Amino acid sequence: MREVVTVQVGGFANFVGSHFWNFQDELLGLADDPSADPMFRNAALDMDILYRAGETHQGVATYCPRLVSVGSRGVNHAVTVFAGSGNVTKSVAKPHERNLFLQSLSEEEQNPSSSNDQNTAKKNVEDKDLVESLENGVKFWTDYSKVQYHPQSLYELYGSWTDFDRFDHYGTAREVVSEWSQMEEMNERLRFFVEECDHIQGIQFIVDDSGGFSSVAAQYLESIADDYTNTPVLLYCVRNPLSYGSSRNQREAITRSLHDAVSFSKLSYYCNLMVPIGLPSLSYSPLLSVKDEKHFHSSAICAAAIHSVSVPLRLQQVGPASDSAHSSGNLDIGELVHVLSDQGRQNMITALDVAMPAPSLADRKDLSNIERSLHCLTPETNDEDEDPYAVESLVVHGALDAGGKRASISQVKDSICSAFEGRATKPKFSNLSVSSCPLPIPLPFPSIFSSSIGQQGEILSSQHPEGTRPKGSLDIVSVPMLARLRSSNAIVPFIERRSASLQRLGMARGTLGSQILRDWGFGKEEVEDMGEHLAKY
Amino acid sequence: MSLRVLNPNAEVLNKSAALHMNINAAKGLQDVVKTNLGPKGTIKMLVGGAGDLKLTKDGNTLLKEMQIQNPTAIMIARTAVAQDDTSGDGTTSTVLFIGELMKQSERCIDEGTHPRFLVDGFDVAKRAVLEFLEKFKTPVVIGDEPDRDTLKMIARTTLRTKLYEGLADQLTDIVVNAVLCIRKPDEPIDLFMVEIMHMRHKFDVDTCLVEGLVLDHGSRHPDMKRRAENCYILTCNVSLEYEKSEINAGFFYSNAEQREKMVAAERRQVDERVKRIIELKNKVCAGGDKNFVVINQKGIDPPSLDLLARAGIIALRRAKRRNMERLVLACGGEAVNSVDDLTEDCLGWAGLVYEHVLGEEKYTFVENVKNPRSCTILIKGPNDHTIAQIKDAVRDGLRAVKNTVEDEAVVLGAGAFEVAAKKHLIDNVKKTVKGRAQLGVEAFAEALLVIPKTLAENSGLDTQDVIVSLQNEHDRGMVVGLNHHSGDPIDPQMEGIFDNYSVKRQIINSGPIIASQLLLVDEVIRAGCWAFASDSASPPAPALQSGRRDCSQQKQIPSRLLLYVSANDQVSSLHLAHANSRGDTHRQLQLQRSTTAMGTVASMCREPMRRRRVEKDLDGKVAAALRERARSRQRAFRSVNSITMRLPRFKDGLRDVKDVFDGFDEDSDGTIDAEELRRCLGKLEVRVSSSEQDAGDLHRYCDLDRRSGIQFQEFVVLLCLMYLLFGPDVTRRVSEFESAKLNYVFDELIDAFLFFDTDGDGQMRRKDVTQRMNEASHQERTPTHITAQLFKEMDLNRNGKVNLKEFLYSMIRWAGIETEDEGTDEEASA
Repeated sequence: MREVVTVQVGGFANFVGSHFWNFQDELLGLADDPSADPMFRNAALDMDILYRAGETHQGVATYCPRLVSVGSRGVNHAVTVFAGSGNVTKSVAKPHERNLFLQSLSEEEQNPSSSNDQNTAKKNVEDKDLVESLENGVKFWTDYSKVQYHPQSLYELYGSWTDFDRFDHYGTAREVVSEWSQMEEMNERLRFFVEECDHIQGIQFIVDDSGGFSSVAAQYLESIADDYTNTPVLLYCVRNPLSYGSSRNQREAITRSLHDAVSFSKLSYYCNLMVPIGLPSLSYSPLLSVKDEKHFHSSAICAAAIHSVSVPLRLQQVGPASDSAHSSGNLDIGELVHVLSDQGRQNMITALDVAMPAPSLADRKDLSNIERSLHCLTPETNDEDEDPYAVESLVVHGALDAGGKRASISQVKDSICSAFEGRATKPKFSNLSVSSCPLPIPLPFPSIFSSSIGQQGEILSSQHPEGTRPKGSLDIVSVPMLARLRSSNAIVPFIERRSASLQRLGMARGTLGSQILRDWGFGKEEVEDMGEHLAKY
Repeated sequence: MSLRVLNPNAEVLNKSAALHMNINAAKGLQDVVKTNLGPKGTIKMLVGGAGDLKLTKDGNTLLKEMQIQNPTAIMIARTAVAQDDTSGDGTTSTVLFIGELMKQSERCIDEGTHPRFLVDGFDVAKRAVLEFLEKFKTPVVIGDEPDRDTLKMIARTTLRTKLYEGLADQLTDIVVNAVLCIRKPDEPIDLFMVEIMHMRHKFDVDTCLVEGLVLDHGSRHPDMKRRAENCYILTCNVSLEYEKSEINAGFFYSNAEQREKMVAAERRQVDERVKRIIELKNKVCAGGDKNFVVINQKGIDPPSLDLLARAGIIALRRAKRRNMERLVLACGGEAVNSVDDLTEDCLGWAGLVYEHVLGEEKYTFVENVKNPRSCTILIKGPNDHTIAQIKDAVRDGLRAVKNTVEDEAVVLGAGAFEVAAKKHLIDNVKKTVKGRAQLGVEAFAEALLVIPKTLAENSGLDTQDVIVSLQNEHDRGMVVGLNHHSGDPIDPQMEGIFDNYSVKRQIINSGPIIASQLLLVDEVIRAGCWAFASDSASPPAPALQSGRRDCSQQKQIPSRLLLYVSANDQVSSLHLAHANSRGDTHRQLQLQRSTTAMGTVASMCREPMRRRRVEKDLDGKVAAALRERARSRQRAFRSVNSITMRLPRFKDGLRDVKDVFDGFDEDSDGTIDAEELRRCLGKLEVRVSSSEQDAGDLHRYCDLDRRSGIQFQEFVVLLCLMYLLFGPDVTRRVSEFESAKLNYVFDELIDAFLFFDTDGDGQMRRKDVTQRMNEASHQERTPTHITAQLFKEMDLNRNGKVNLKEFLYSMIRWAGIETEDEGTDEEASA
């Protein structure tokens, strides 16, 4: 067993995580469902790697994610003391209403027999309503989560003087981070899951680095690095498209670029592989229609990409030479880190590219498409000059052959290899992992697919007449995925910009920037250290 | 008011309003926590948005969990919480005391006393009370064997205010024993050495003290014993799991056998470590009925567990880091970081080690240790909120006992100290103070009584009766407190009601400081960047008049020019305000308002062909001249600010042109018509083109606004263009005197245009302007809507480009060169 423990820190990270766990839950469900695609049943994905078996106090067996999720307390115990004309008003926060989806989940729990075959038609109608309500009404990540979490998994930060609505830069989390008891509690939660693992392969850490949570995460990572010395940490920095909004004034702009620099420096210091994800806009592909302003939408793409990257981590371990019928090329986090960061450029910041859905393998000649269909999810990359020292790890799962049939593993391998042989500049090292299991689309998934995508995620050549309404979980069962982690000089602009803004704004004497850094509690030496650290990449 | 001028959006509360806001906030907060004071205080139930509950009486918890919005209340709450952080208790008392000080002051202030006198009085009173406290405190002898009874009394006093009596009394022993257990002579007490562990199990009265340690995990091997007596404890931080070596060397293997070998080789290292531990076990446990327990901070993988289990060793992995310290203190021995250091001396000892399983949670008890220096308080309770409540109380109890041990003193409780201190202030101190500061002392004395008063109130007694009877007793020389059952005076010493000395001291110290500061507030200003963001809800006429300016911090006016356009639908006006560092003397050069003068030149497009051609021709000439100039001259401006700084100078420079203009304006109607212009050009000896209609063309070219004829501003534009095209001769002919000055101004103006015109084609585009506006100013980014507005005002013919004449015209207007008929013009356009 090579367990992975997942940590999610921050608002958007939890949005992403919620989608991620919905995928896993869907996979679990489909594996048990006799009517589902046999691919899911035979899938060689070992769910025990992400999940743990336990039991409740009442002795009921549970199967929950190995997850620590850190968020801010949704709504404080809001007793407002307001002094206007001398009278005191006390108001208690109104509980948030549960949405339709959550209601239906809890109903199902109460009478599980109700969902039998005869009222399938009625159920479909209901599903449509559910999708509709999710499409319009998702405010919190819990609104669309269908996974049962372990009570130890969810941790809410609180800080009486911290305003989590304006939790938008590195310095805002000072109170939280400096309070010993909260960090201790978070470490305890993680220890609970790690202690159970017989042989932990690594920690998968998703952080929303657009605000104060990156400071919390940095502190968390530091203690992880202390406590679990040899456990590799794979860090995804996700941020939502909205966090790129233009800043109102100079001070805000400076604060933001300093925040980016500082949090990048701090986060990269304590992890083994860092994958920044999050473009200012995600509507890059004609096959997807993403509304950037909806977290529900943008997080779905990040989650799908993270899911794909995590596929090789839980492929069944087989001998090095032999391949099973359903998968090949398993890796663990340690190996992944080793492959990507210790060779060639010694670069631990990698870019993530994804093709969702992956193109069909049908047209052998058109395989250069594969390269073109990959879209980069990492911001501020530069693809112009090819890097001869690039190292990459490619994951293909659920790829389709001509006519919407699943391609076999060897087929996929052969065609991808031949396609890559033909490339003008080849990376120095390339790793390929293949699985036959596509990405399942769970019910609470946003309608982001364009109408030219079929039920199995195949790309239909002709535009269908049925209109341009985006398709969602009701129309599409699964999609093939192609994802690639790439360690090359494409990431250089990303690093350089951060390094430069720290140099320019933070280190110059007497500027507004150095004042801000001092407010965040960094001394001069510390800033210089950070600058040096950044310059090393 | 000056601030209004500086930032019209600032919200200001002045003098009495500010004071009363503070007083009300203090009273409001006091009202909230008042009912929680003392053993008879009531409980608050906090309900969160997600429906989670918290029941508490603890002021500290309450203030931390509540969301407080009033700024004054936040300040008080912070002081109170800081009180808790330093001394562990007294949060509620602090809030009450501050509230009462404010209340008493309000009375005096309403009668006309200046807050300053009160504050002086507070200061005197505070010092006096602190001195009095030194005399009043009851010393406690903390030798090698502290007096357990006194400690118990003080723990009981604290705990009873947090929990119901039965439970509080039970916890009293636990808390006192825990602190005495970890105490080392001549060393500060580290409360972290008391582990607080909770189990959701049984009832709150099952909470107990474990002399030893409780770990929240168990062994991970089915064959390990669940219970063992007479155990050696090995505390270690050694990795007992198979890990890849950290050195990145490539291993290559060609068949399964080789791979197996390699794994086995790596595995052997781990096994080696396990074997060393087993060897030690065999050595120390030989022949006896002794057992061996390994508690490791790092991981232990299944093969290692297997080996250990076969050797009869109980092994726990991934222990808390802090527990490693505690284990050593509890069991003895020392923590081992490498198997090379293993000796018998490293081992600790425990009489009993056993595992307790609750659902999927496992607890391992390490008990019956010799000479424990660390212990565990095991909190049990049926549900989470009971556990949380007990946890808070235990924490406070521990702090109270610790404080006593460190202070070596306690103070009589039940309100006895407050009544005595008040008597002292009134009888002795007040006389020594001269003047109106006496009022402050008096208010302070009254405020002290809030503690006994509230105690009485919460017990359902009559406040007046209680206070009177207490004061009577004190007047008779007896030191008494309040019996909250009967309302009679009692001797706290007899009843065993004691408070912490350091807590009382802290309250007396911090309360008056914060109250004084609040009293001396005479203005509350809310100003800042966010005020700018919310402008829809806004501004009446005066705000518009003075323009909206960004005031980045309270009362900080940046000493540079701020360029602002108020984005209002009806009137779009551009203001250039020059605010210098002495905020109140800021100068404002707002001279031209209303868009009408410039915004309606749209008709320009519907002109005859010829005219357009001429215009193009002239534009071309101007552009060529500009290019020439750009090549020959150095860049003069580096930032927008430097241009705006020059505006007043432009104005000065151009003032004298007025006379020239009047000279040409022969019929004195404020405009130069085509005929007049012809004569003028003749005098200047310039010929723009060979055509006879020269003057007419030029006249039309320079007639920028909707009014026919060339007005003064347009005349300046004309001159400047002439200067550009024909060199300094033009200005000399205009006026020998002013020539140098004019040349300078025109040079500057043209350079300013070149600054904006980044690509040098004689036209500036919007993006150029935006870029220039933002590039060099480090302090501030000009909002997009402002640059957009600015550009719109410059672009008179609405073609998306601004050429030199449009730019000059706008600059001259902004610099404030007036036309005479400004007023009439506005009326006409309105």
